Amino acid sequence: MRGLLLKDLIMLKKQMFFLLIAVVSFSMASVFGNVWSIAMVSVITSVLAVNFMIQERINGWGQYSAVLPCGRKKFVTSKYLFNFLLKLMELVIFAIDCAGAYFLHGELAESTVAMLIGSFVMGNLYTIFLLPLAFKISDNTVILIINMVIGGLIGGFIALLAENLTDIIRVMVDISSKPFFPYAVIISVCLLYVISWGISVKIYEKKDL
Amino acid sequence: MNAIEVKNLTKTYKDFALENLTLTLPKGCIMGLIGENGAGKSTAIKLILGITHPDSGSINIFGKKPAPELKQKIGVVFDEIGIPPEFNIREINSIMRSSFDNWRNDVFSGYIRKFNLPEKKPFKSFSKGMKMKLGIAIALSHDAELLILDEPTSGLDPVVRDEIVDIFNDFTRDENHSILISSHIVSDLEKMCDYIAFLHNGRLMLCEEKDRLLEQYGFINTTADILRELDESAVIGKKSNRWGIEAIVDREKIPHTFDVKPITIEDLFVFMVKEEN
Repeated sequence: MRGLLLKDLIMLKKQMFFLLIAVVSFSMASVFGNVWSIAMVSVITSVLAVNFMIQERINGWGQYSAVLPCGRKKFVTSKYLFNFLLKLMELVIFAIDCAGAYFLHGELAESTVAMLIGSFVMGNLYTIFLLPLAFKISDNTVILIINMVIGGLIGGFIALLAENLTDIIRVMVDISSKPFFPYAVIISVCLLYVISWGISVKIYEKKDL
Repeated sequence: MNAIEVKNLTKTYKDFALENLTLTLPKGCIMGLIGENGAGKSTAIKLILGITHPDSGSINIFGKKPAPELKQKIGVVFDEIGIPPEFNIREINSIMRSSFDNWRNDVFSGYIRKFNLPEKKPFKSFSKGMKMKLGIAIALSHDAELLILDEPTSGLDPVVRDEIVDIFNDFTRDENHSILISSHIVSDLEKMCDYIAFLHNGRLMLCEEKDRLLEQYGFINTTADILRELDESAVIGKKSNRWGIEAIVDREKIPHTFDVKPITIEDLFVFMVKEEN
């Protein structure tokens, strides 16, 4: 499985230049006041794992990887681990962003925090639902369209979030004041990831490549 | 022990079916899967490798049910190698080293030098021959005992094809090494195979030792009247020409008075397929 993961990381490295430009631009924009633009970082990291899967199907790696001694379960696991690494990167970027905003404005606005949490959760939900679909659907065009549509919906949702930020912050502050809240969110997301992974494994093990 | 044992393997698609494929590749031998395009060669290979799932039938590799760990011992070459186009050989080496327990850097580097492949150029800039050579280098660099090759010589020029055939012949000098190779370039297979399996329209027409096939069958030139007098099962295929009829026959089933000329595997294949059609 190390080989599969390494392949994705090398692919990430090859696209790092363009990714860095995008991520730095959106991060800078958010630090300087355009709060919703940080959500684009979440969209990019979420879309990336599925995009890589589409790319490798086009160039035949999906089939070629089946002759490596790792099995299909590990193939699926490698995709989820890669996604996990992307999400870690996203958190690091968010942390840098928060530090930047704090340094610049002397405080961390509630709106920034709300946007970060909202986009992080949405990004994870996107991956949880889309990865099994990407394993199920063989037609690259269909999965690309679904990828873009759901990506667009998330973008739209985040824009909506930005417009109604004051109300949402009030609700979030109210909920987050409850002690169980952070644990409930973490456990729910982890549980959904495990379910999503299980479904993907079942789908991929039955699939003709 | 047999390298591959396939029994009654069946796979049905909307427009094609591979039916009851049964074949055995003994250890230390080379088997050629011959068939025209769409005969079912790639389907058979994908089933053996577990890339697709059979509807019914069984597959054993080295006496065991196919499992991911068994692929440590199997080297595979497809006619299209699925390496990401922007990767170079160094990166591919790193990925394979992390994937195979017995990956041999020295062997891989040796093949890369032998094949004169550029280490830093991206895979997409490689010619068809270079891509195929890289696929072969990967397949031969992790101490594989079985090579499964799907059309490894298609689209290559005769010089490269000859080089590749030599490499496969070298590989089978070790008596534990076996090869299953599919191709529609019969002349390549004739040079190297111990066993020949003919596939046509998803059915196995025959699976036999090459030397036995060459001994058993032969050409006769005769007339339509004489041919009619022969046992029907003796005639494998026939073709009319301006001097009469050219037929491939089973030597044991015709009178010894006939002047039977030797055939090639390609002749046998072409006549059998035409007769079947």
